Amino acid sequence: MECTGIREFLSAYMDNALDQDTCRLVEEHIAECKHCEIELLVLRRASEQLGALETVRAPGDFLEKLHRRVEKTSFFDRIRRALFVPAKIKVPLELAGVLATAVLVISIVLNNKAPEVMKDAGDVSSFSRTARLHQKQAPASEPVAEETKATRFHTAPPKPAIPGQGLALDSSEAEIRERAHYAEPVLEAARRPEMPAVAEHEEEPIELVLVLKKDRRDRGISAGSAGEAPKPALRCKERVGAAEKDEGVQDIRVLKKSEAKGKKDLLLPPAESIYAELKQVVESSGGRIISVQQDTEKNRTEYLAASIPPGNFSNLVNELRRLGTLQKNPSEMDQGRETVRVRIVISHE
Amino acid sequence: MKALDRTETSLEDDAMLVRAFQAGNKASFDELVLRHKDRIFNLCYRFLGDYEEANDCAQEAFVKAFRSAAAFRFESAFATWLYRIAVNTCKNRLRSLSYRLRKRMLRLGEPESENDLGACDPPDGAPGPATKLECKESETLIQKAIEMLPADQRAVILLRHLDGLSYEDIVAITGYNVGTVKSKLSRARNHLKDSLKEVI
Repeated sequence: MECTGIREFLSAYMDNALDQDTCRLVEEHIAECKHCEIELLVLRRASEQLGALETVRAPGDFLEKLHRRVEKTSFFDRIRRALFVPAKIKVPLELAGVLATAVLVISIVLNNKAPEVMKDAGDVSSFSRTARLHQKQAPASEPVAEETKATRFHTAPPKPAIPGQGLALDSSEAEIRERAHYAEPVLEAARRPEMPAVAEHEEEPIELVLVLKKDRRDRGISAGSAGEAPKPALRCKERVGAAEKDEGVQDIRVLKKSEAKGKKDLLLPPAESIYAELKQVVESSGGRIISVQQDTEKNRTEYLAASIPPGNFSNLVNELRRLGTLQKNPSEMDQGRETVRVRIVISHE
Repeated sequence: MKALDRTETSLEDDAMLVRAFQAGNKASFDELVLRHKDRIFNLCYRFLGDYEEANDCAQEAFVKAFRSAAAFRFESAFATWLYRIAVNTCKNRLRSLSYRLRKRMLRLGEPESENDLGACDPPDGAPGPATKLECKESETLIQKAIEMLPADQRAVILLRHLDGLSYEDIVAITGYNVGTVKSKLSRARNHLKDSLKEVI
């Protein structure tokens, strides 16, 4: 064996910690190798130096200081043991306790903030009251289409308006502006979300079926009559019949009625006269016409929708009775209403 | 080489004292401290190379033993168990930041010769056994050579040469197997040999 290998065993050889075979090998090599023999010698001398070190004794007050140290650490050790021993049981419980305390504190803090939120809610209720007031003050909107649940007597269901087929009815420019004036606040109310527009069918219109007197039916346009030939005031999208010459047609929705089958053609006066008289009746009752349905083929007014103050409803009924017979006696009006919508169905038979 | 008192009488005495302590006799532990404090202190001093650090480390080892003595199961000798605590405490102290900083300050702040003299002065100012020993130049060199060893080699070589412990005792104290003990001891001795050429 070479010196490198032998020197690895010298330390154990010094301590008699080698097996017999290895020990013999080392001894044989040392006997022959001066370098390894010196190496062994140096190792032994170094070890002896360590062994020659004097024992450094502990200070005289070692035990006393130890007592103080034990007492001091015992206090903290007791606390540590109380809190964390056994760790598998106490630590999870303590963590759960800390979490529960944190949740409780957070909930208390949030509850203290809740009344501030509730105070703001009071303003919302006053705001809604304001909205209702605005709602009442807004004038009745012009219905887009006639939708009513009221019983119909001799009328066909209303058809959607066909724009532009306006008949030159009441062409008063002032009246048109007045109606536009009525319409504007309604449109504004419709746009404002907090003040919803009054629904058209919120108040069901009162349907009055007026059977015209024969003389009324056959009456033509008479000079000096209350009714006036309607003059076009606004430009119309579509031109209808004789109204082509006119510059504009009043923007009142006109519902075209389909042909009634099997009806006898009567010599009926122009619709303008009947309409004019009805218009006068409505306006004398403090109301206004909302829409008119006309049969353009027969040139007569089928029905007319208007809104009037409830207090003038009886006056309206009386005036209508001058023109004809009401098939059904209208019921008493609810004086609490701001306006009453009526639908006057004209029966020409 | 000073051999540890490992007679059966000594071992039986230790066991008896431990049992008495476990039964509630606090004075028994004091007796155990008095029997082993010098060996433990010496080991800590040679391990750390500083009197104050050794005192603190030895105290800490006995405190640990005091706390754990109630659970001692007599699977090994009390002395072996106590040595194990002391070696581990010293290793932990070597790794501590405060110790390393303190050593660095001593090396930078004082010249070598003064450092040796400083290490010879005990804290109370009066010359004690540590003072005489540390003032010997050879011992200083040897001590420095020991401090240059890594912690595992330091532990093995000190246990072997300070207390004359057998390989089996060293195995029980350090937890290394026999082959590892032999290997570490060989390397430590070779390092010391190289460091102590002047002395040798």
